[in-house]
Amino acid sequence: MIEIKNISKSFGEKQVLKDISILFERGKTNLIIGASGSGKTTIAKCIVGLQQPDQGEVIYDGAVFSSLGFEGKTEVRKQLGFLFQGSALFDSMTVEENVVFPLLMFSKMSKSEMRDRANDCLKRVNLDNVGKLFPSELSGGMKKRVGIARAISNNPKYLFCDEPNSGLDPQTAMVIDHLIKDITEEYNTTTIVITHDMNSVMEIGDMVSFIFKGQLWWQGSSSTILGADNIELEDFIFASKFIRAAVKGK
Amino acid sequence: MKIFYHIGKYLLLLRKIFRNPPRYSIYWKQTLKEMISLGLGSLGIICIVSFFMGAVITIQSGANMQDAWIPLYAIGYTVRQSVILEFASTVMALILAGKVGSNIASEMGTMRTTEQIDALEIMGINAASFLILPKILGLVLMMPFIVIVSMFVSMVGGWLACIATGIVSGYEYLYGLQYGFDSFGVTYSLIKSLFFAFAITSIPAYHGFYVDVKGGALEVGAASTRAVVFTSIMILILNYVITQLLLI
Repeated sequence: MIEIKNISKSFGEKQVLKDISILFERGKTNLIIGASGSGKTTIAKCIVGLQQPDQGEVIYDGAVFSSLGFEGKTEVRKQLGFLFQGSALFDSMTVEENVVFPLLMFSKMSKSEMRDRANDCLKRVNLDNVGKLFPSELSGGMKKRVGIARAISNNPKYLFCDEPNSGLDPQTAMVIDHLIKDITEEYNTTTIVITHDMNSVMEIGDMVSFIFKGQLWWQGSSSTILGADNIELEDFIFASKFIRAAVKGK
Repeated sequence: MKIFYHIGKYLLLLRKIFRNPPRYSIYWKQTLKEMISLGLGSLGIICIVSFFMGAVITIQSGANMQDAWIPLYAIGYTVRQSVILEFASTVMALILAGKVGSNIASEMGTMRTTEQIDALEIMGINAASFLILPKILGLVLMMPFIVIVSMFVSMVGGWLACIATGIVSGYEYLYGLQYGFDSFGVTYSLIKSLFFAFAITSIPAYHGFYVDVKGGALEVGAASTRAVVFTSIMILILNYVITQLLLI
């Protein structure tokens, strides 16, 4: 479980996050949605410690992240898997080396055990026989899947996905969505997905937090989002006239 | 005042590099890789530059020492002193600042803009230490070897120039190379080279590591240029300071 309490963050004069508090439950896919520039990625970066919030706390299973020392933060980070928007695979390593990397740094496994684990993770994301390829030889969707395989190789307790569907075709996007959902249930992780893709919201959103102008504007499940009485959220969801017509019959 | 901001940030990065390193076994492998890539990978250009530099110094010395009062072996002596004291360490360091420095800055900058450094940090790895320390160790360990190779190739280049032009006999040149030899000159040059190696790796690493991600590829290119300029200036300053400390 991850809890953020009263998080605020400014860049110079511009306040990006304003007093945001959200509880992300374990075993659920928690979605943070909002328009581009609304502050979604900044929330994720504050949670994982890539950016320091000006105010507020991030709590990992009762431990306040900012109060932990270097060792404590490292311990939390070892249990964290992060899928980046651009996958962030290491260019100089093969796919297998990318997936093995977190194990190499922190586990006490033998080399063959690490290789087996990497192959298991790659199979889990439906990738076979790509271990010897370099990231530059993969398609966007394959890179995302390798990113997921790397994120889960260390059996993380917390899984973060930053816009996992960006730049993917609808079919591949759906495959990635279901993979995230399945992994969350299988590994019982606290999963946080940053997205602005409404398909993802409807497919995998157990808990949805809508961020508008740096503030938590609405919170609920994907089953209640279409009936939410919130103008800004409605504008965001029904930005497409086709969807509006299909759902609302207008 | 911005210079003090950068000096402070650079010093903080150095502290981060040497603090909380990850597993030593991984470091060792990375360091070996960097020794091969940064050190051995630079030998080709070092040998070419050194060879021609030695040859040109020999011809220039010969052309300027036509006076009958100056013994011909003075050409070999001049070449040796120039190469050992200055060219093999300082000029080679300036060349490496261009080759290795721009490579390190662009590698770090690309890793930053593609979030690979963020990925390391999120995994709980000290990215500065993991990425930069092996480069520093790799080049610092290889630099004395590079400098000695440069000294040797320069002198061979000078000797071949003697034979090709006939400005001085090979015997006189070799006599001049050995005349009044003081091994402290080599020690001085090797000491300088260690400091230069540290600057050549750490300054470009700083520029690449803290590249402004908003600028994308353009900013990576700009960081690479800045890295070479600042490293070159730092080499010249270090050269002056170390020379004053060791030779006066």
